[in-house]
Amino acid sequence: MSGVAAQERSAAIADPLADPLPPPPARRSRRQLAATAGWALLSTLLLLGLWQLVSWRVGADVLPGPLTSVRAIRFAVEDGYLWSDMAATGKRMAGAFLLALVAGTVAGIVLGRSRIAALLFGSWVTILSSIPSLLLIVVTYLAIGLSDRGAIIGAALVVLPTLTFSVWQGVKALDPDLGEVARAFGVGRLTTVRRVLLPQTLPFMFAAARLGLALTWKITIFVEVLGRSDGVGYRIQYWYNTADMQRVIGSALPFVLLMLTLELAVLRPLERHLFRWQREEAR
Amino acid sequence: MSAAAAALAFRGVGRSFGHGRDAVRALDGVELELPAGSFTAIVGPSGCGKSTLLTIAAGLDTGYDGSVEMRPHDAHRAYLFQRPRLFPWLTARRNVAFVLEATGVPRAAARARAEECLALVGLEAAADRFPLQLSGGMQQRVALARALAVEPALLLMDEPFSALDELTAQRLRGEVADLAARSGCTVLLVTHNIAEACFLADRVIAMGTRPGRVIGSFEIAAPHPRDEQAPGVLAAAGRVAACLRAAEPALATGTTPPTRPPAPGAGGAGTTTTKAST
Repeated sequence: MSGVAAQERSAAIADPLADPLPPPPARRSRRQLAATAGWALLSTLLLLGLWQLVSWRVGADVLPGPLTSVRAIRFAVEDGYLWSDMAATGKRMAGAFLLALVAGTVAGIVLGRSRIAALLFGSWVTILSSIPSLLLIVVTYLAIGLSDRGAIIGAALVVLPTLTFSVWQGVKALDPDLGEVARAFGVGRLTTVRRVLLPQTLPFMFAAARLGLALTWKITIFVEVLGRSDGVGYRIQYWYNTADMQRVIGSALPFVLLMLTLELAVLRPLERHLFRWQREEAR
Repeated sequence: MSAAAAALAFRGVGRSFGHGRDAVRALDGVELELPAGSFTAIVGPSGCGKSTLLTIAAGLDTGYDGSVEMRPHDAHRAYLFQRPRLFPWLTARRNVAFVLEATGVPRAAARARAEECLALVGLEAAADRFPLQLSGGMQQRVALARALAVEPALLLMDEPFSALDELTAQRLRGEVADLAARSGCTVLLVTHNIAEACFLADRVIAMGTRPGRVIGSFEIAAPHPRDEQAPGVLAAAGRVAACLRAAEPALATGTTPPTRPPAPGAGGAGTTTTKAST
């Protein structure tokens, strides 16, 4: 076999000059990386400077400056509510996110695959997305009770339409030609779903998840303001009522930083790596 | 590389699309024998059902009437589409290996075989590239490697060169002719390019429209490897073109590709060289 293969290889009619392989994917040089980092640093400094300027302008009791705000995190640690708040909010957020993701994925797949389902229920998603978040949350609290369960379901309902639309779009984008390739080569049904259909929806799923996570975090804070007695949202409202803006920001900032780290250090690099095949000039 | 070639027979094959008044008879009464190891090309205008015939041969379309017999009935089939249809999220190597792995070949063996086949089409250096990072011609070569990887007994091709620029198409035609001859598999090529059909195939089937049916069969006697300008190839192309023109008066107005010289004595030539397909 190998002898035959070698002979065939030497006989292969390849004309590398006439059809050259595109240049190998270039890694970004150290200098380019340094330049990118420099711009990012400058951008951050500008933002912090603007924050400080506004703070001076409107007064530190209305909007504390960046340094004061970071120092205010200390109060949250010293008073002992920082970690318990973050845990409570994180738990609700994770619950709402997972619930919306599962429900949105199922709904999106059904709507994308069935024409009748799309005709019957497609407009429901639009309607749900146009209901004010406040109304959804209040009604959910009343229906389910002022509990963590109510908070999670309320937040999930607000996020659900966005996720459903993303997944629906992904399913509609499935390329029937690739499914035909699988059939032409006798690939089984289950393998086709797992290795031909699923990879096609993955970019949409990932985008939906990222969007959903950012949205869920904001809605969770809102839900906590309305009907919970712990968590980051509750704490923000508590200190707002005492007009202590330093502590308002000191309560919110840790979670903001956590979400920012998750986005910049985990999700974006992961997305770049997972979907590197989408770029014509790969790294 | 060499698997037993398969023989294929269409007996009274017809295919209708749509219902009631909108029904269209895409194929009617197609009788065609593809002996094991033969290279057959089907040419005809758009709408003659040639692609439908190919999807039926591939087992992708099962809504036909009549019967299609493949011997052996479980022979490996491979399909080369008009577009490469590679999975963009897999590297060239894994694209080729996929069709093997998905049909039960162990991963390591599949990848080794994939590299062998990429080397056959001159793309061993591109094994780790993703399809979007390759030119159209290279993508189609990866698709060819994928088709060869399954050691097909029957290779089906649906206008595989029509989406490529002419230079790339010419080179790839040469490679396909060479690789098909070496693997010994049975080949069925569908194309609207008469010159291409006569250059590659041992037999060219002409099809007509409304309903799609076989209107002529031409043996191309020229020995391989061929030259696209060889007299045997050109003369055959002239006869095929004349047969298609006769069946489709609309084509005679100059929309056909220039396949000169025209058949000598065009009137009778079409019928005398046309063997009624059995």
